[in-house]
Amino acid sequence: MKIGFLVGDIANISGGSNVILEYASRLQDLGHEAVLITPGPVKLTYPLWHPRLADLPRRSLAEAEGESFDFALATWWITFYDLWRVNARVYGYLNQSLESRFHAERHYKLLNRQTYSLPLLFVTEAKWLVEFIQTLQPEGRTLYVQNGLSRDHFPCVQAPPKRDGKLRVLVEGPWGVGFKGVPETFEVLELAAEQGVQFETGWLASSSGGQKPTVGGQPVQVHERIPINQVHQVYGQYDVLLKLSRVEGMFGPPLEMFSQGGTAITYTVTGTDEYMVHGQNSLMVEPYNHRQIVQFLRLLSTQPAYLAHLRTNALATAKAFTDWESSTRQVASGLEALHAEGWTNTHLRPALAAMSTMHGHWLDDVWRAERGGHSPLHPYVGPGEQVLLERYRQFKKSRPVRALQKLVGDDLKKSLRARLTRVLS
Amino acid sequence: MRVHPPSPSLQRVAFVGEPAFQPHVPVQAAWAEVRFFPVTDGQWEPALDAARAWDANATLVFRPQDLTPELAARVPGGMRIGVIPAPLFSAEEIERLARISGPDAQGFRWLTYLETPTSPELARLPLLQTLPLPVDTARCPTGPRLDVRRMLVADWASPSAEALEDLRKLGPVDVLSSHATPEQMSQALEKAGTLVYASRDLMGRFDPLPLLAMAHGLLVIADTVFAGEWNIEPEDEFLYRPDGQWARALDEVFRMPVSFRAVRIRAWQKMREAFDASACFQRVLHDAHLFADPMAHLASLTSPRPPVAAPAAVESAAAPAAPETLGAEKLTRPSRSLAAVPN
Repeated sequence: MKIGFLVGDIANISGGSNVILEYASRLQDLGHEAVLITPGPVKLTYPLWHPRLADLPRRSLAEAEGESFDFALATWWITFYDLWRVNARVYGYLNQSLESRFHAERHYKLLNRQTYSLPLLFVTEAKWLVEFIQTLQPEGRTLYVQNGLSRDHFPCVQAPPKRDGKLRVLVEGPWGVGFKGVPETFEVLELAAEQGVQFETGWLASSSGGQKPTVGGQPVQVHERIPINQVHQVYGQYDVLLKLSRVEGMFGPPLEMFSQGGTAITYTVTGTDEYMVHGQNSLMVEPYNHRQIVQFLRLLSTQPAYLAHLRTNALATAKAFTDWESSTRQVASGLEALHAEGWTNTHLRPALAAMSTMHGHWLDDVWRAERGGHSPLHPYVGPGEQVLLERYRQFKKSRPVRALQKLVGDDLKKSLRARLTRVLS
Repeated sequence: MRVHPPSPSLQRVAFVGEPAFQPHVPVQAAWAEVRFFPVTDGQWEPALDAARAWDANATLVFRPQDLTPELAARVPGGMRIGVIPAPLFSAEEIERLARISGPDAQGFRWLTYLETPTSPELARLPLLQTLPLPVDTARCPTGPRLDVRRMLVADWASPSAEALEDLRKLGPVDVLSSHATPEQMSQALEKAGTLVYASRDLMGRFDPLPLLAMAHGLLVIADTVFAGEWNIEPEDEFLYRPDGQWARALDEVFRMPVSFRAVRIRAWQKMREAFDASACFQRVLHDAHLFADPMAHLASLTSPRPPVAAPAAVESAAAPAAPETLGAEKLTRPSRSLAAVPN
């Protein structure tokens, strides 16, 4: 089978891209032709964040337009709107989260929801997403396969590493992504330190954004841009992962921590029910109950037997968890069955094209409205007037005009503006 | 949320409170036998005696501030927890709670409070955790009925007469009376597709109706929001609109249903993720034992198996002619027929 994955930014490290690369590379190993279809040419940065990235065939969308695929799978939601550009027997969506929740802007949320409006093949990794998709789009087909735990990148330790001294807490995630809750996590840790809880802190981040956090006056050890095959070494240095993200798909990082004999404290975020059990392998709090995290940290720092109980069960969970080979075989057998059945939804291509067109026009309008500042364009402004307005804006932004504006005082500007408005109105 | 199975000694859990709290008590639970003992006409003794006769191992009492020290001493079970479901302002009530709760008190070992305590007097109480009033989602429909357009307003949280008139032009509107019984409230929620809600306070703080509506799969449109720490996401799980935009919002919902079905589904899911009464009270009891005596709690636990299902791909399709499975068992949801509306 020839399977195209439409991807966004594949060159940089992310959990979502890791899932795509695991599936694509292992489908390739099983004898299928997996192709990464990118919006444009991709420049890889060495060393690569994922060792299989260079092995996989990559095509730009323009190149892929001339090819035929058995399956074309959108991944990051924006790529849904490019599906129509590829000729495929089956249009699908490797859906890892409800990405509407990633955005604050209403227009992105509304556009994201449209990506569930056609009966595609949905391949997804979490039960909450299966439920969401099937309720929203009952005409679609849904293939649920749990992500695997990579035994190459996260080989399970034999037993939780023995450690003396203070509790070691690891924070994970980029600073600048709101729903990842990293600044909030450091606030909780600061509160715990103020209340006398004894611990040391590390931070694993794809990007620290230049931040150098401290907790209790002590600098936090930052582990930044670590290649995926070395991440387990960082996890192995800590007892507990504290991760307060508010949106997750299947929620991989705690499982990766489990593989190295650590436990986790998290919110009851989507995805936790895939493998986390409060009081067995981890501790969870509802977001409204975040004050209790300090009590949990105090408990873990003073009750080594309870910490050992959680760590032991966490490791047992990781050992029993499926691996990427099994997950990929399940996806492959699911796709093979559809292929053998002759199932197709190629008739959706015109609808996908129409949605893409509407998406493009709408975003253009939003863009124009935003450029208009507080006075979005009125519906009666026709295309000719829009061109004139755009020219006028560019004229105002030109270097000579801006230089002139600097020379003119505010009072004179106001007076000229008032006079011009009077003349024109 | 999945919680470690409780100690085998925790078999029967009693809930005691006014009948209005019944929708917030699990009708059944996989982790223990549960039963609600209603307090009628302010008479606590019969309810507490019935719970004692039932031989409850643990008891959760709603509005513990209503109990005298004598009554608090009669609460049965080895673990007794008071649930404070609405903001507490009375110094007298806080003082009473201080006397009847704590590790050495003849009453409650722990209390829960709906939000982060705002006064030092409240903060000094033996608060186990923050717990807004949860919802027994098992009493709710198994999925949002996405084709229902009926609107519901509550007479205590109603839009202005003008806004209500605009809503009536769009479709049928039911008005829920403040005198409605829990059953009548539940029936009204089951008939409706949207709750339109006006409030001067944060939603859910004094009134559980918005949470109940979301658990029933309704779209909630309100002129206010939930407390930020509840993490109920505006635009993704409810719509925050000023009073003057309600008719326009409903018009959008009816004209562009695909855009807003997702909001109803997520609201319904969120209630089960973070506000489900069975899970919330199971974790309350778990943590009550854990924090009361970590070593005894640890000793009481049985060794569970790793919480990991055998790997299996599960495929599902709604089309009648579709094959039964691709990989393993078919995933079935009782809500399918309710949710099956053409897009």
